[in-house]
Amino acid sequence: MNTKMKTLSMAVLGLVGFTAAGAAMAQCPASLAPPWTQVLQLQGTVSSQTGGYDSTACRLRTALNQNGSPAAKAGVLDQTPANEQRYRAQFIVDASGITLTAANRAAAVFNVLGSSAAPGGTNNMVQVFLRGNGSAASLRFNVGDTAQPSLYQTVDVALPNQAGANRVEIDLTVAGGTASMKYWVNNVSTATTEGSPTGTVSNLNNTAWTGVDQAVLGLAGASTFWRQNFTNTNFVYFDQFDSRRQTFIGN
Amino acid sequence: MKKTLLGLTFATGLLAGGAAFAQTCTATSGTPLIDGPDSNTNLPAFDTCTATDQLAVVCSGLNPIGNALDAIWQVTIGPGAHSGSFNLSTSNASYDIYAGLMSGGCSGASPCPIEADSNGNGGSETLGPIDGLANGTYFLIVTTFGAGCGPVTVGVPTTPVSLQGFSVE
Repeated sequence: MNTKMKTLSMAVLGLVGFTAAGAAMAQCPASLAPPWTQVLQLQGTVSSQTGGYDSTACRLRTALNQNGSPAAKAGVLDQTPANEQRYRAQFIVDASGITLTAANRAAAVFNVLGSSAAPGGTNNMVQVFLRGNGSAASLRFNVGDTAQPSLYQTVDVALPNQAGANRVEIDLTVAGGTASMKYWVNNVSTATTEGSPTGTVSNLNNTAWTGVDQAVLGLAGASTFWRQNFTNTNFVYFDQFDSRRQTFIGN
Repeated sequence: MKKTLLGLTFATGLLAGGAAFAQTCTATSGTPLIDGPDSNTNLPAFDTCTATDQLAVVCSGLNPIGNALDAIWQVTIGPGAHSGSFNLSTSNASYDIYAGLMSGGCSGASPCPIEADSNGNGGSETLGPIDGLANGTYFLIVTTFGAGCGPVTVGVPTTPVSLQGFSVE
């Protein structure tokens, strides 16, 4: 089955503007919702900007205000999923505009919410954090697994392209002890294949979350040191969000 | 923009799964329903120390409020024109208020179209404006990223007052 659940490429948004206007240049939309369900913004900036990745026209630009609230956020919400038992999602992230090496600087960039919460936990089924690992920018995947005392299995992946954009894809299944989440983290220009993920988190028991119901792309939940040291011009960019039920998205 | 949804059969089959373990919440005991008649008034101070900890995260699961006490009011907005902002203040000089308005139900996963956390200990917060919000039921949560609590006064924005009666003599 080759079915897209949702495609929200900044490029597509840009092309829509270009087509409708019939102008010589692509126009990025002034508003992100729709197509996104809602813009999530508190003490931060989130907008569509010209200059996307991998031939796209527009990208999502995000930043948080310096010394802002722990609740500060700059992102977009997708409520298209409906209790999905298999959830594939891909996005591009570019953190090259910020100096992200210190391990105490972290912010969530992608949050997958289940339809229900794990006992003693929350609805957060998968959270992807952008953080320093001491020497480079990396992604931390917290993947829901009620067999763990923390309710999560964790894996860290250094961004392959520290100087530019990276393509991130996940393939999450839901089952009791036999679920998995494959993940691909590559330079945006690198070709990817379904059979060669960057890694797999296995033996997940994630039925307590029931299924994937929402997703958030953008900055949120930043650590104290992130909020103290980065300003609202230290941008992190996103592009080409795509989510599906069955088919590998790839590049 | 492309936005393709798979057939209803798939989704409907999954929806029956329910939300037995959902981290849901309810309005805190003693908080009044906020609706039209409360328009442009300050509600009597509510002591959030009498509330319980209902949610560990709030607003699309993004705000880690942990074990803080969560005071929650149910709010009805509309039908009709509405405008202005909620004004939240406390008499506890060491209480750092955070406020959010949850939509789509009372849950840690519910998105918050408006939030406020601009001031520190003892400071007031302005939550709004509500002008662009759709009519419906919302839940106002007042909590903190710290551990405090205290009396909180809720200033209600302009919400439409239903016509109670009308006659022509």
